[in-house]
Amino acid sequence: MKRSSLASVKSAGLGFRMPHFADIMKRRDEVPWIELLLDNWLCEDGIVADRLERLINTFPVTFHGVGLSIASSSPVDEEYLQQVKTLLDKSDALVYSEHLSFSRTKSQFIPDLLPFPFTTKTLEHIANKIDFVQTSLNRQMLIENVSAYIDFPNNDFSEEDFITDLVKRTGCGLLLDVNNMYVNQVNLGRDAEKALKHLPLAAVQEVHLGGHETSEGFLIDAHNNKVCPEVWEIYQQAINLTGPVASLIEWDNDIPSFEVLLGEQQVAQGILNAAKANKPLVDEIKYG
Amino acid sequence: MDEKQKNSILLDETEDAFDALMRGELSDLSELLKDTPIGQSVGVNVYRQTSMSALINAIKETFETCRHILGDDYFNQCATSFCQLYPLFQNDLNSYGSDFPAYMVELVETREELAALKFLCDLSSLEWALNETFFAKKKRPFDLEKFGKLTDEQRGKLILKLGPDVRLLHSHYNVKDIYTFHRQEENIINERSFDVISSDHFYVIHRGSAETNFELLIEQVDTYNYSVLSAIKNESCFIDICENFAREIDGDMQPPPFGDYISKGIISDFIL
Repeated sequence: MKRSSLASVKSAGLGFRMPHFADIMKRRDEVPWIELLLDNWLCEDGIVADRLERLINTFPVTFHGVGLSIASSSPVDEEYLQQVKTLLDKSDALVYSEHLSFSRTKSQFIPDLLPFPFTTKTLEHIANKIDFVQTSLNRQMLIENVSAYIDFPNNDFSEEDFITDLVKRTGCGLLLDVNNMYVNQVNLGRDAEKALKHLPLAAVQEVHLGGHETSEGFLIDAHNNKVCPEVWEIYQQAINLTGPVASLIEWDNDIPSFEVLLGEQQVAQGILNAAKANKPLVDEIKYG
Repeated sequence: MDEKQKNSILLDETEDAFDALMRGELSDLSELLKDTPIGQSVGVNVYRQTSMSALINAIKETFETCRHILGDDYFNQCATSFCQLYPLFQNDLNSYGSDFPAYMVELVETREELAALKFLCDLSSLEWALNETFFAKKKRPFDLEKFGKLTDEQRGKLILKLGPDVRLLHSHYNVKDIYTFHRQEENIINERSFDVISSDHFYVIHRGSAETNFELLIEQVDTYNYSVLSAIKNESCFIDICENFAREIDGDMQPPPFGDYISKGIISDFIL
């Protein structure tokens, strides 16, 4: 099975969004790699394929999916998986990642990343599905921890223990979203620092950084803002523990100028550079 | 809920609950959830709102001109009720909204305040056609060399194909003019008025002839050309189209202008 090849990258990349197409092509030297939202690039032909070709000929790319619905009760959609495989293979993708959530029910797709109970049964079910996906794709996949706004009373595991077991059982990698950890700390009362220490950090191959929206005492993972100081702090703690890891700025809504996005990427790169040089991380890094 | 019941909650029950929530058949998931710092109902509401917003935004983007005419608040109301009635069946927001033109017909027929805006039905069809044209596959250049080498017998069986980006629209209004008018910001700023003409209009929506051209064209055609292109779309035989649509030009019976259609990229292929 092909291992993810992002491990050697260890730099800060950008989540690509179409409004930045011209900017990113012009300033390609400043962007070491990009991440594409997989489900937007599944067309084999037409404008989407045309743009994709230009991007994959210019940048190393990772693909981040939202449509696999790994935590659905139903089996993996094999037709969808075949489309994913075709795309990953033709793009020479560094990584394929997905969310630890569901978005498909028996009768509809819900355009969101929905949570589920962390039980022994769900662990077994999802581990089997990850095995199936990795075998079908003949490559390792990364699983991302998601933000949540509700919690279940019948959890057998904490989120971090659930993820640890999934990684152990399947050999999948971990995409650590530090903003999601912070959102869950505020919304659900989980402890991000404690979770960080319990997660299988050796499996972390990518870190996501994004901004959230504050709404009357709770946070919405809207990816529509700069990364907040609290999230940068969790990121620093994570990098202290993992060493330099490929890190990505995600910004999906109220998309800012390319300059602003690059500013965020440079803050992440600064933290990674300090970790690479094995320097103690300064306390007063100026956050965007 | 007792401990045994809690342990029996499975993934499909969680799915069913969210399914009902999105359809508006359920507003409370407290039986499934535990208390959190932000409260169960707040959390459930976030999912309902973010999912609905994603669908509504997809509708707004595709039917931008309809939204412009109806105004944000009224359009949001319409889009919200549409999204509740028509869930997302494919994991692709670009293909969401194919039923919106039919929904517009229903709205216009039943809402008194829309009686003067009947053209919205055809305008939404035009906007959906533009969306399909934009995301359509690339067309290959018409193989004239291969076409030239066909025998008479082969030509007898020939079926011409419209480009994958080509859509035909018969409207009862001048929807191209309405669309163009509302896409020009200065018309709105200067509060210019515009005449809606109620008569038959025929359009071909396509991306032109270049292989990598993603510019959207709305070409108005006459009844004759629309009928020929409809026959091609319906896969009528080449010979039948030549016979049925031959017309007299300067004293000679001429077939339809296939060469023009090919040079514009409207016809892009043929099958035998």
